[in-house]
This record gives sequence, structure tokens and C-alpha cells, in this order.
Amino acid sequence: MEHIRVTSKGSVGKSILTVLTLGTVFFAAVKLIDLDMQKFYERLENAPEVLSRMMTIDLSIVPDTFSNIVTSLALAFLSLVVAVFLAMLLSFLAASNIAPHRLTAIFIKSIFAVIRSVPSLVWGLMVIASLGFGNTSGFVAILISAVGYLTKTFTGSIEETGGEIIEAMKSTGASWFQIIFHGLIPLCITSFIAWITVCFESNLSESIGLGIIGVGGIGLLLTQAINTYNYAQTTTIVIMICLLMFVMELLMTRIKKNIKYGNS
Amino acid sequence: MNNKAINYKIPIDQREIKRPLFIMLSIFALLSFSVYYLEISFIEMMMGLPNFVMFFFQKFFPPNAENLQHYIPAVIDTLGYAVISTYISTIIAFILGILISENTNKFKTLQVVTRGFVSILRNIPFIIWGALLVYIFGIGGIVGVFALILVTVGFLSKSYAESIDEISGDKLEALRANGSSYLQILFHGVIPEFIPAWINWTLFAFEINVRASVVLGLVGAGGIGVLIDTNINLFKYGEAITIIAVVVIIILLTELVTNSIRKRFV
Amino acid sequence: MNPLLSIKNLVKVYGKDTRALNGISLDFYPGEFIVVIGPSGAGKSTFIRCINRLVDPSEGEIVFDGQHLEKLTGRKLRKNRAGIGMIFQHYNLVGRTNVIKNVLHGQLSNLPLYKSLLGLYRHEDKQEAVELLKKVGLQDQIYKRANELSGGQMQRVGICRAILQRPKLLLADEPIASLDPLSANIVMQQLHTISREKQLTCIVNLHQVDYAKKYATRIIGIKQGAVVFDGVPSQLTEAMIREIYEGKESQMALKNESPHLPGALTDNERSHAMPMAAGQNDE
Repeated sequence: MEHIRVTSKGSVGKSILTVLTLGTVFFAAVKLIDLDMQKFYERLENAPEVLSRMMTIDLSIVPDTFSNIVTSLALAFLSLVVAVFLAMLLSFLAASNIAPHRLTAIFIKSIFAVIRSVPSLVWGLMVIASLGFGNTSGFVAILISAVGYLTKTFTGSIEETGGEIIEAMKSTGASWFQIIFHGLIPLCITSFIAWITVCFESNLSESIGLGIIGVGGIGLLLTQAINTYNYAQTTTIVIMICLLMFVMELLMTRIKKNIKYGNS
Repeated sequence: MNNKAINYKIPIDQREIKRPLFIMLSIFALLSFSVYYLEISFIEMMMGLPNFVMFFFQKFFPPNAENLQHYIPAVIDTLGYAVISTYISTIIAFILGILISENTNKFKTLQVVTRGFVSILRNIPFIIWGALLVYIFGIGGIVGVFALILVTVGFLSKSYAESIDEISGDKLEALRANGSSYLQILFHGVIPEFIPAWINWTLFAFEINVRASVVLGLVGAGGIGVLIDTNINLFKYGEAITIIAVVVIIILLTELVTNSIRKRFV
Repeated sequence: MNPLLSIKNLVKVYGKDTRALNGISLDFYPGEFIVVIGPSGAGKSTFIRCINRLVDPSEGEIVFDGQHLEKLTGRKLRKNRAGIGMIFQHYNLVGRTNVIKNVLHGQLSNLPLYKSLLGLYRHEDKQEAVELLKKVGLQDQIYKRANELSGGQMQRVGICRAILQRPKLLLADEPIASLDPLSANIVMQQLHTISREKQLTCIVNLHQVDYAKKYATRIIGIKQGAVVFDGVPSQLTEAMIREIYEGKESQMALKNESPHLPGALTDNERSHAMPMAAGQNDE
């Protein structure tokens, strides 16, 4: 009785190899890093106690939380608007199909590749070291990473969808600015707005995170509560943050949907 | 034709002008409020810009690479946390994704409950999770892994569920029609179709995890972030910038690797 | 002769008051090749999906091979579904799985999960799968991924998968609607040949009346969820066809395969043409 294969020979070997590689990587990672499980288990025993103490809320901090949430929101929004302007400018200089100079495009792209690979909180630390604590530092730190993100995504959108319209408008004799204002911006605005909403959400979570390293806003309030072992306040603030992000998510989804189906 | 028509302007846009104007105005109002509320003076900032840049370069340059070999364990830790948490969270997220997707879970209540749970995980910024876990468990690497898992599970479950939803019901209908069991539909229908999306999202999650793993060090969860924090706190800016350069290299290399894997498998 | 499938007063209501099926009662006998025709939206698809309970009927009885399908759930329903093969308009293959595995999916209901995961299908199943693929001319594509095939080839894989279930009844929902005329011909021909060979009872949804007349032993016309014609192909007169497609005549054009004769506007074109004509009159 001849054997009938269900999979071709090559694909079986390939899957075995993939599984082996994946397994090796995992075990290598576990071996190489030193995870002190024993210590963790010891602490795990304390966890229920800490958690049970956290099961209270402190409403007296709510007004304070609100004013700090406004700070975080304002930081996120302000840096978003500035970042959108800068990123628009930069992305038209960097997108390979519309960039006036090839070298500028490559330069901008590589600079931003580096800028983006520094996490925003690390930017935060560096900016604080240079400017001191405060809202301005927060603004600059968020701005840097937001510009990095938006430039990359805008450039991607332009390169992906722009080709044909650029060709068409060039053939009508339109200038660089005309192509951008009458061709590319109307074409890409939908995807731009989608990226902007994503960016706002990440800005907001960054501005909350920056609070932890000393910039103002709700994160700072949380750090203070944590440092003073104020369990009730910690819980309250975390719940408020969660609600805030939840509302923002709903809002952003709403905006994206509106843009997609609403006015056109 | 009558002459009346000539006097009318021919509108080139049918849409009302009111809406965009309203949006513009409200953005501007919000903007002014933000500037006022945060007490950021743009003029001062612009004036201070050259100072800031100079300050920045004076402080952080030249880099001090003397201790480069001492950073290696921290680099390995950072990458290791990212690898382990990606592995663990992809498994958990896959199960949760199946529970969230309409294609694979017909129980509405279970769907909603899982979705809510995942959205809590996702909506709290990871640095907050880190801080909270350090608060509960104390400082250490395992806390970092734990925080990474929580956040990645939140992110991946939602993405997986969306991808599973996108597998058209048609394909699964054929398996339903020939009497296959739920698990058979899952393994023979859903999973093969889901694999490209799975590779894509998981690699993406790994990239995010590497970054997050760096940052979590800042709140005391181990890895290279701790080194950045301590060096800056000790005013050793030259060393800090060297470590940051190492971070940049790690992250760029990670992206290079994930992109090449993506190209080969998707 | 006892009917293989007997349907009594089948009703399907979507939402609150969208009646897709309006009380259909039909008996189907072994060996029949039945073609169901009707305009789109008439309920053909709902009807055929109610038979194997991909759609749950609101009222009525479905007796297949002595079993009341409308009452079954879980494992029993699956066992009975395995006795009914189905072919789909969009082929519904698992695109990233290879051709032979897609065909073997027809046997999943007879196999424990672990065996199917390890690819441990029974030898006679594999043999039959290969033979079926040879019969439809796909012997060289056995290890290709399903999504690398053309539409016609995919549908032939779909037929093989349904046949490998060794069903008593074969359902086909618009099997050639997404195919070009040439592939449609081949697929329809093969579907007919194989089902005759295996002496299968077939219920096929089609909207091409000429195909229906060519292959069917019995034609059923459905309009607005009710049976308006039930008879042999020779009884299906032009007047009858016109009545079935009343109000949706544009879909009949497919019958001639030349819908774009000059002067013959489709509904869509007509509605575009109207305002233009009105404007000219104003001048």
C-alpha cells in the first residue's frame, strides 16, 4: 500500500525547523536572564494583603484628579497640534514620491528613525535634565516622539497612495505646492486623521507616563500617592485613568468612523 | 439660456462651509485654553531654544563609552524580558482573542466580559502598570515581565480578535456544513487563515515589548532602563547618552530583524 | 418510493418581519438532480441553508433520511450534516491550507481531533481524495495552497471535498455564479457527471435558466420565499420564466449572456440616464 502524503515534504521540515527555533529562543531567554522566582513567590504571598488594602477608594482626591487630568489632556493636545504641523511639513519633504530633494528626504528619514527609537520616557528624562521639571519639559518630550511617529506614518500614507495623483497632477503642470494642497492633502487627509487620533491616544498615555518621572499631570499625582503608600488614593487615581482612557478610546473611534463614512 | 444663470457663482464645493469652520474654531479654542492652562510661554520657549540645544549637547556630549561592556547584562535582560513576555502573552492573548471574536465565540456574555477585561489591561498605560506592580511586588525583573505581559495581552487580544473577525464566515461555513466539531473548525479553519496576521501582530508586539522593557527599567522593573535613570540621577550624562545610544541600536536592530522575518513569512 | 428529504411548511423570518421563506413544502426523491431558480433575494440561499441548518428555520419540518433535522443539536446535528455535502458560491476553501487537506476536510466529522491535527487521515480517504482530484483534473495541484488556484479550480476542489463526505444529498448554492463562462461550464459538467456516477441526490441553486434546463431532472422556481413552479424542464415555459423573474427582468439577461445589447439598458443605467433626459427637455 503506497503512502499518500498529506503535506509536501518541504513544508513539514520547515514547520519542524520553525518550532525548534522558536523553542530555542525561548529557553535561551529564560536561561540567560536571571528571574528570581523564589523572591517573586515570597512577595506573591504579600500581594493579597496589598491588594485587599487597595480595595478602597478615596473620593476626596477626585477634584484634584480632575484638574490633573486636564493638565495631561492639555499637554497631549498641545503637543499633538504642534506635531501635526511639523510632521505635515516634514513628511512632504521626506516622502520619496514628492520630496523635492532626494538627499533631504533620506536625511529626514534616517534622523527620525533614530529619534523614534528613543522611547518617549527616555526623551523625557533627557529633556528634564536640560530644562528642569515642569509642563514645558513634558510638552517638548511628547512633541519629539509625536513628530517622530506622525512623520513616519504620514510619509507612509503619502508614499502608499500618492503615486497616481502626483503623476496626474504633474501632467497638468501643477507646481509642488499645488500638488500638495489640491492633490495630496485631500487624498491623504482621511488616513492622516486616523493616524492623528492614534497619536493623540499615545500622547495622552505618554503624558500620563511622564508624570511618573516628574512632569506634571495625573501621573505625578499617582506617583505621589504611591510614594506615600496611600492605597485608597492610588486605587482612585488608577480607576480615573482607566475611565479617561476608555472615554478617549470611544471618542477616537467615533471620530475615525465619522471621517470614514460621514462627510464626503 | 437666460442671463440670470451667469450671475450665479458656480460653487465648486457642495459641502457647507460651517462645519469645517466650527471644527477649526473649536480646535483653536482648545489650543488657547491648553496654552493658558499649562502656562507654557511659547515666546520664552523659542528664545530658550538655542540655549536648550546647547545645554543638551554640552551636558550629554561627549559620550562616555568606558563602561560599555558592563551594559551587556542589562541589554540581555531587557531583550530577555521582551522575548519571554511576548511568548507568554501570545498564548494568553490567543485564547482571549478567540473568546472575544464573534467568529469563534457565540456566547455574548462571555464575549463582553472578556472584551471589558482586555480593555482595562490595554487602557492603563504600561508605565502605570509597571509602577503599580512595583508597588505591589517590589523591585525586580519578574515584575517587569509581569507588567509587559499584562499590557501585551491587552494589545494582542484585541488585535487577534479583529483579525479572527476578518476571516470571513464563509470559509468556516463549509466546515460547519460538513459536520466538523468546534475544535476542528478552530484548528483546520481559523488557525491556518489566522497565521499571517498572527505573525504580523506578534512581531509588532515584540517591537513594542523591547521599547517598553527599556522604559520599565525607569520605574524599577529591571533592565537597561535602570542604568539610564541612575546615571542621569548621578549627573553622569556622558554615560547616560552612551546607554541611550545602545538602546537606539537595540531598537533599530529589533526592527530590522522583525521586518526581515515579516518579509519571509507573510 | 420514499422521499430522501421531506420539507414541510418551512418558514424563515429574519429580524422582526422580513419573511425570507413563506411556508415551503417539498419532497425530494433519491437520484433527482434538482435545480432551484429564482431572482436574487427570492430566498434560494436561505432555503438551501435551512436544509443543513446553517440557517435555523423559524418554523417547519425538515425530515432527512428519517431524521427530524430541525430538532437536532450538537453532536447529532453534526453527524447528520456529515451526510449532506455542500458546495458554495465562494468555494469556502481554507486558503492557506493545501488542496488535498481541503478535500480531506470532508472527513473531519469521522476523525478525532488529534488524528486530523497530525494529518493521520485514513488511507482509503486519502486514496479517494487523490482519485477525485484526478477526476476533476487537479492531480498536479495536490500540494498547492488553495488560494493559489483559479476560481474554477477552487470550485472543483470544493466539489471533491463535498463528495469525500460520501453524502446522500448534495447541496450547491450558486456554484458557478462567481466563475467565468468557460469555467462555469466545466464545473457544472463535472458536478453533474460525478453526482450521476455516485447516484447522489442534488439540490442546486442557480440563476442561469439555461443551465437549469440543460442539467436538471426537476426544476423548482422560488419567488418571494414561496414555490411558484415545480416540474420537469420541459414544463418551464418562457411565460413561466418571466413570471418567476417578474420585476427583476434584468437578471434574466444573464440567460442570453449578452446583457449589453445597444438599446437594452439595465436598471442601473436607466436610472442614470433619466435625469439627463429630463434636463434636456427643460432646454
